[in-house]
Amino acid sequence: MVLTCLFWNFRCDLPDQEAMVARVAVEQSVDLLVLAESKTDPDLVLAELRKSDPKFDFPVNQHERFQIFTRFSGEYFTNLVRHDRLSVNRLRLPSTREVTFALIHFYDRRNYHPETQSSLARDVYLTVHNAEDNAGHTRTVVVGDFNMNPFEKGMVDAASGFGAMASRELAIRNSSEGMIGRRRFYNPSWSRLGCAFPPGTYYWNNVSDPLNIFWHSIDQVLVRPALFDFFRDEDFRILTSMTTPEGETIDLFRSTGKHWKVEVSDHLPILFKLELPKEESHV
Amino acid sequence: MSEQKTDDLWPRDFTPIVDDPAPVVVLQQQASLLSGKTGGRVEGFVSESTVEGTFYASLYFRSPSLGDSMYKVLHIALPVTFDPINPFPLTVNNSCEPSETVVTDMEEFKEWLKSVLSSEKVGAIIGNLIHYSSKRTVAS
Repeated sequence: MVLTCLFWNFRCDLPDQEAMVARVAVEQSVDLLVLAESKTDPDLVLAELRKSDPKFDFPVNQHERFQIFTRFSGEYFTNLVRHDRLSVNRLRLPSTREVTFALIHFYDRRNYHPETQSSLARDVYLTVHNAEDNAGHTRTVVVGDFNMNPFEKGMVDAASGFGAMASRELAIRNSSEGMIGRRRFYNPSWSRLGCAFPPGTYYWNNVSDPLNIFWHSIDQVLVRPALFDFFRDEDFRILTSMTTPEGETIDLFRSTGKHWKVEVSDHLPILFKLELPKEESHV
Repeated sequence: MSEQKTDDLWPRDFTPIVDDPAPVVVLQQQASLLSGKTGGRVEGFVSESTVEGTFYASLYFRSPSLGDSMYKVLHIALPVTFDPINPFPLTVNNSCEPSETVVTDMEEFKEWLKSVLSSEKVGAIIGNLIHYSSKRTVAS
């Protein structure tokens, strides 16, 4: 079974936001929808989603920083660990092997210096690591708003950050085999830097900061080597448009001349597919 | 060429340390006090792990109102080569109100731990867990 997953930092003030986010989810055939910073009424979102598929559910025991909707019974998505900025969950559908699906909304750059972000990443990484130890496997993805670019210290540093590598090969070569020892992630966002447009999910228009790179790839998904056979790079996308009920296409960002402006929310959504390993597979 | 016997300069035996370092013992003691202070509605427990040459002890809460999940409160970290007699300095991290700092002795560690455990944020979390555990009990 292949799940289509959508994460959106959805800070939206539009009056029809519930219908809008549900429309994007339905249009993209999403099975697992995660919103962060969202003020949407989950009952309304669920009602909108159920217009297209009554199987949509809102799992119990949710973390206050996220809203999670599933196109399957919520009982298959259960919370294991809560942290101020992290929700570690077990995803297990019938006849599939368990996957650890962690959600993050990390400390932001406005209030936390990059060095501070890096030192705080250690605690979040450790929480994921301990959850893997408890689960007895490393079939893990971490998805969300990391508030750091893929190349920043907190993302890359294996000692005090997420240890997220630019290629699968690097992640494999720098991980120990099995549960014991060093574990790295693969971060597919690296491959989007510069060679695709937009080269990020968040645009910051501050021209007075000479270090500003303007487009920031802060919404990311990290994948453990144990799931490499179940995650395809070409299925990882930044969504840039949506369709209205009238069939009109709306761009989720636009050029304002010198800058770009991200619309609907201040972040673009990310979309990826994850095949759930079959029960008998040895990963 | 005559065979020369290699002198063995190592001690006869190595004794793995049995006891947890003193700060971890303090953490465990505080964790076990919580259940009594909350009528069993919130439990504390300490999870130990080693990652990339660092030993971590993390404090979590468990409660009926959390179902099967647990809440991370803090962790302390020290290199696996720490001195068992004096395991300081050690790095301490408050997961509830993000801050990482270094403490240099037991007195400073206890002060830090008290400030975290008696913080408004932790008090509010425990208060919520107690409240919703009561509701769950009434409902079921």
